[in-house]
Amino acid sequence: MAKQNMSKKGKERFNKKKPPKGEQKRRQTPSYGGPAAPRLVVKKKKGEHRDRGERKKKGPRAGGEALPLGFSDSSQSVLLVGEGNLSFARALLRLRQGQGANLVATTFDDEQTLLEARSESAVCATQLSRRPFSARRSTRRARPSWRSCRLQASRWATA
Amino acid sequence: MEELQAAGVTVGYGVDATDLVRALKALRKAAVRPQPPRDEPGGTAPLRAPLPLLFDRVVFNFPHRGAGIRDQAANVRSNQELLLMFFRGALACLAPQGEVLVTLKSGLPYSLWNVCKLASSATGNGLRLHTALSFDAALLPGYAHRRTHGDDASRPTGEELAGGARTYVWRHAFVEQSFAEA
Repeated sequence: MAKQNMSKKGKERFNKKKPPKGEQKRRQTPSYGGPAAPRLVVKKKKGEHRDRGERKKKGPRAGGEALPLGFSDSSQSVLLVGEGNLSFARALLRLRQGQGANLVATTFDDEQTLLEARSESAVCATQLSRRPFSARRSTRRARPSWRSCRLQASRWATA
Repeated sequence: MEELQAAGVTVGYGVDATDLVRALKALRKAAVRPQPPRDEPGGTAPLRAPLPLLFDRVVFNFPHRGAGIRDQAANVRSNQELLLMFFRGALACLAPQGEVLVTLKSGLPYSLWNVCKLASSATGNGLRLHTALSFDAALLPGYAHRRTHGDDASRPTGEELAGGARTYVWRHAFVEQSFAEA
């Protein structure tokens, strides 16, 4: 029963039902020297970092969306950094239906190196297709070595 | 390459990802310079669109320094330095609603790079991770993955990326903040 000389606020507090023990707030640090009480989870404001929590549950591997999301929009200006063989730029260009005005592709290599690399791989590819694996020759002979391809490419470049 | 240039794509060679701002300045200068007239009579060089000052998307796919350091810890550190400088440069040329995208192969040693944390610490919490997507090479027509060392043309892209790759997307921290509040 509430006391007679209690204030209105005090009465309210007195009459309020106490929550069951499990729901009661636990003290952050115990007064005795025992193990530390588990930290209370502070409820965040509505909407704050909510998406981050969801992402954590899913794990970094999950995620239905794939990369070329919104890349087909040709009004967007896109800067590509570290394009090895410019094939990603080419892929983007195709996604944008050939609208490349706002597209900037950069690569660490200079133009000459890129051209050489391309001719090398082209030589490699043609040699591979020209000399398929045959029964008469061993597989090791049939496949041109990287060095021979490079040599051939340099010959073609000088010729 | 010809396909790109014919479509009006600006291609910059010898661009160092650790110094994007300077590289873009040089590219802009080159774009402003008057081009020599074409060979055919009466024809002039086509006017290229000016380079945008800020970009809606800055993309770095499979960053790797290619230093060839045997020691894994040193290698990771070297690549982290590369990404750190990249993030700083990218923030400088990112539009307010823009995004920075970095694709990495999943699994070791790339998971050691800790890109998510690196981006925010490199830019003084200027960038905040927005989402992560899966990288699907099959959806990109004509994309051929190139390895850092020993470009082997006979190896298909699908095999190279069989382990899966993730694209991390960052936005300006203030934009993300306003999204969270809305």
